[in-house]
Amino acid sequence: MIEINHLSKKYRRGGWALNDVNLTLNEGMVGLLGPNGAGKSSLMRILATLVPPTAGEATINGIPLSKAEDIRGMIGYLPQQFQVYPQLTGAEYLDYVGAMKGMNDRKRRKTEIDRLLEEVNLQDKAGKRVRTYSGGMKRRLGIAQALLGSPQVLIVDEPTAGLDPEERVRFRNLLTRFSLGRIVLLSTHIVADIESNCRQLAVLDRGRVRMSGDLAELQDFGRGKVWEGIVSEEQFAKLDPMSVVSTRRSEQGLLCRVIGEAPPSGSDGVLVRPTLEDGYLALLRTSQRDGVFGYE
Amino acid sequence: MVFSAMSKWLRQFRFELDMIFRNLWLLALPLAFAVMNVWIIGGLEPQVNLFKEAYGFHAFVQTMTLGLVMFIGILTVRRDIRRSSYEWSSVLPVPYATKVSAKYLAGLIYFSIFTLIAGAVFAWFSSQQGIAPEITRDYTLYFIGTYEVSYIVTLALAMLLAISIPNRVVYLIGFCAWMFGTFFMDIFLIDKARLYPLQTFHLSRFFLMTSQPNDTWSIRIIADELFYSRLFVASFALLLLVAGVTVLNRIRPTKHKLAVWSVSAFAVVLAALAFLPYGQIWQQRYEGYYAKLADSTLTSMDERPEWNSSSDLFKITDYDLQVEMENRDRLRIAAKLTIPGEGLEDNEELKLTLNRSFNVQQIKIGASTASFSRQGDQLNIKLPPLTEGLMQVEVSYEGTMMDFAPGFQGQGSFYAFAKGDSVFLPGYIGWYPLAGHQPIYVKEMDGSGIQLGSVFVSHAPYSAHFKLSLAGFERPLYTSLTEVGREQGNQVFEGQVSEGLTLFGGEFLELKSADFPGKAVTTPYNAKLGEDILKQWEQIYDYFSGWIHPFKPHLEQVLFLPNENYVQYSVENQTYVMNYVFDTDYASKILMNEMLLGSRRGDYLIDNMSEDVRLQIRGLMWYLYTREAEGYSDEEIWEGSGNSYLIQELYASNTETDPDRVGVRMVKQVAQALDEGKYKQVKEVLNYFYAKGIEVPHPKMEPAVADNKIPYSEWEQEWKRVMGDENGN
Repeated sequence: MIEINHLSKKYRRGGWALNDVNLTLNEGMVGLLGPNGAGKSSLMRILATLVPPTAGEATINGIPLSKAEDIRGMIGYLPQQFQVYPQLTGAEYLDYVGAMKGMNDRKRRKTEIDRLLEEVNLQDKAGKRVRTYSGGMKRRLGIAQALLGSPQVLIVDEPTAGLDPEERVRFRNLLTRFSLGRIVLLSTHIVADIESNCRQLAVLDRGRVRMSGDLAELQDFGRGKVWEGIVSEEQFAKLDPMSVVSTRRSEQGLLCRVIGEAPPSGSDGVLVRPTLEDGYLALLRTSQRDGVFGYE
Repeated sequence: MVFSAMSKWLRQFRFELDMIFRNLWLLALPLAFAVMNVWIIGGLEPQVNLFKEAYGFHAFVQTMTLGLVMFIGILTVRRDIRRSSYEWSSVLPVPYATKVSAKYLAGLIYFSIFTLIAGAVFAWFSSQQGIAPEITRDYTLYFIGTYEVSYIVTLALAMLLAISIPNRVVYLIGFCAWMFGTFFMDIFLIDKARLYPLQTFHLSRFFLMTSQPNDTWSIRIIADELFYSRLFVASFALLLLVAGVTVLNRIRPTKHKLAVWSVSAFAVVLAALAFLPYGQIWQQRYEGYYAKLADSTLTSMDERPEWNSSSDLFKITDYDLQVEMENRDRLRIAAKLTIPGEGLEDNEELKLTLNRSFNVQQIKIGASTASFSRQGDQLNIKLPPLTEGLMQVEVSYEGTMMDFAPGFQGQGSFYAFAKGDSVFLPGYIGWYPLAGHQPIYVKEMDGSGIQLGSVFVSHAPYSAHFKLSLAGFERPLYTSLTEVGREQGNQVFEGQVSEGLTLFGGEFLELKSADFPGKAVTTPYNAKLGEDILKQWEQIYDYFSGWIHPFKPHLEQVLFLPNENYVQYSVENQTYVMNYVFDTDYASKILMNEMLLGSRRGDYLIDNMSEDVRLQIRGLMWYLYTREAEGYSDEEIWEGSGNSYLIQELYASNTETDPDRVGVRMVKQVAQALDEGKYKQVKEVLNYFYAKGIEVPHPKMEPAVADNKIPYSEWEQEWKRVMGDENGN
């Protein structure tokens, strides 16, 4: 379990990356959702013991972050940007990481590396130098290194960025399998990444936790606020662009899906059942309109 | 736990080695370095000073490799430390100390290959030159030590820079650090600004502007400074590395904060402690220097006319010096001076000059202890009522001599020293009592510095008989006196001294030939050149000694000690001291000229050549050699071929001093005789005058000989006697 209490991180220049974050994250796959700049990476880097918090505390399985060396022995981490020594082969790289994680038994290490390479579908490329890998292959190698040693906690920062749809699905499934009996903390700004796999989630915006709970709770933020209606092009031009979720052209005009307290003006819009994305957008819209999370 | 940590360190170390040794470019560089070494060092002529040339080569090449060290040092850190795309590596349960130390050691091992190549190539070619194994070992270790220490600190600096500046601009900053730490520091801070103690911060310590590149003392006399400097640099490098780890541990949380700061504090204290002995060396040097600067007895250079009056100079007829070295650096000297009482009857004090480095323990006049006072280099002895006759003054003194000269010919250096087997005690430094108060040191005109007063120190007008006994020295010492005894480390020298007496000691070689009265003393890496000079000198000697009877050598030896910072190119008593040789033919003839003909320092007093043709006769000796031994014709010699610098008086055209062109007349006479095959007769004439004496010494030194003029009329007379009327017209 990860417990985060009043965690804050201040930039050197004075702004807050995180501001009084409180969260409790249980076993399973946990989604950390938020727009760019919300503080997701900062939170993950703190939990990965890469940087200290400015204030507050967090524990991972009861161990405080101040005991960073102990934490590092139980986590796997895949940063948002991931590069590997290009002159090594995939297998050599994983062997190095395994040894550094304290897997001293060479045979066991090799067995696990082979298994992981198969899991990430790199078994055929294991002997090739990393410089020959595509971006997707490198990310798969990244997740393999994070999974190596079966860490109790896996922290992956925007892992699906740059992957093609098939790889994304494969990736999500891999993480889901791994999350059995463990915590997998996954950050993303793509709702679909967490929709099918995460049981818990937290939404961060401008350094604060906007909500935490399950998928249904997030979806509920859109209840009574999502409208669909047909508008003319002149009426569409007058709509608040921030409120428009999607637009589809039809014979009668433009079929718009918007978030708001009322249907698009000039249309006979109807309330519709919100999706997870609608809930997320409604939440963000509310927080931005309220302006309560501005930088201090 | 410990096993796991060790295992991780070894794996990280292996990984870092892989990163370097899998790179073909990095593998090729040591190979290229080796080829360059062999090409340059191996391509040197055996006559050149291998150490000097190797030093010059390494001063540049090693500085270049430091650029590579800087680059690799930065690269090795930036490979995965403080790079966002490699943050995964910072989450691995590996302490930064492990990563940084493994990276550092792997880099150092790579650069040690350069060190080993430089050392091995030098050692190989040094041994090929026949240099003694222990000399080769010592100088090879010097190169190895200097290379390695440079790499140790430069690599640490580069890594700290890369750790502290997580931006690509660090490459530019590293380049600037490399330039600053080498060329800028060398040329501006150390050489121009004379901030010599900063030498230890010079990344290379092979200086471009230096007095070190020769094997005449150089690194021997700064052995302790080098040792402590290296000790400090190694400690400083450790501090840099620890600082780097501390910076990283400040960025990434650790539970060992206290340990990190404790190690940092320890590294700071260690570096400070390591600096102390090095700093003390410089503190002592500057202490002596500033004491001179504050000494009111030292006069300014612009007061020179007063010194020339030499009103308080008096004659010392005999010196009996007993010099003993104790504990490798302490000199204990007993100087017995024989001084005629004439002219001193009215004096209450006897004024002597003795270098301030020595503490006077006792002074006796006759059998009685005399009271004395000292100020700076001035020694005043209270005189008893004097009677005419000889007075015996015995001065007992002791001390160490490492006389630091911060601005000596643009280099941090020493005016004089006696340490271990390195000894350089020039007469003008006052290591034995000099008559009167003499300016061993003078202040610069603006009072901002100290200069050596050597040109103003007066050994003349009185020459003295010296007996010098040496004991306790590790190697034989050399002087301009005749060595009359050498036994179990003790040496005795004796002779007449008119130009001061210098003691030279070091790892010198004596080069001799069985049938040749001269000898050469030089350094191991100049031995081949010394041998060549000696061989040529002997060949010329063989020519002259074949027809000159009796041959009276005026020169016993040449000390060929190529350190221009210390050694002056001069003739001192029976010894020629050379600090450089640009041509062995020239050097051997200069030596033979001095050996054959002696001094010509009084030549400027000959204002009418017709009244004194000694210079022309000296020239004819060489004219004959050039014709007979070298085979030049008279026409070729007229046109400037041959040894023009030795026969110039024969062709002099100064109508003020030589209105009758006696030189031309004499050489024409000789040329015609030689053309007629009358070599024997010409030699007879020249032998006659040689036996009579054709030395032209300074009249103050040897007044009787100086006045031994040979008028042209006497030449004509002798020529006619030998050749008859037919050739004597």
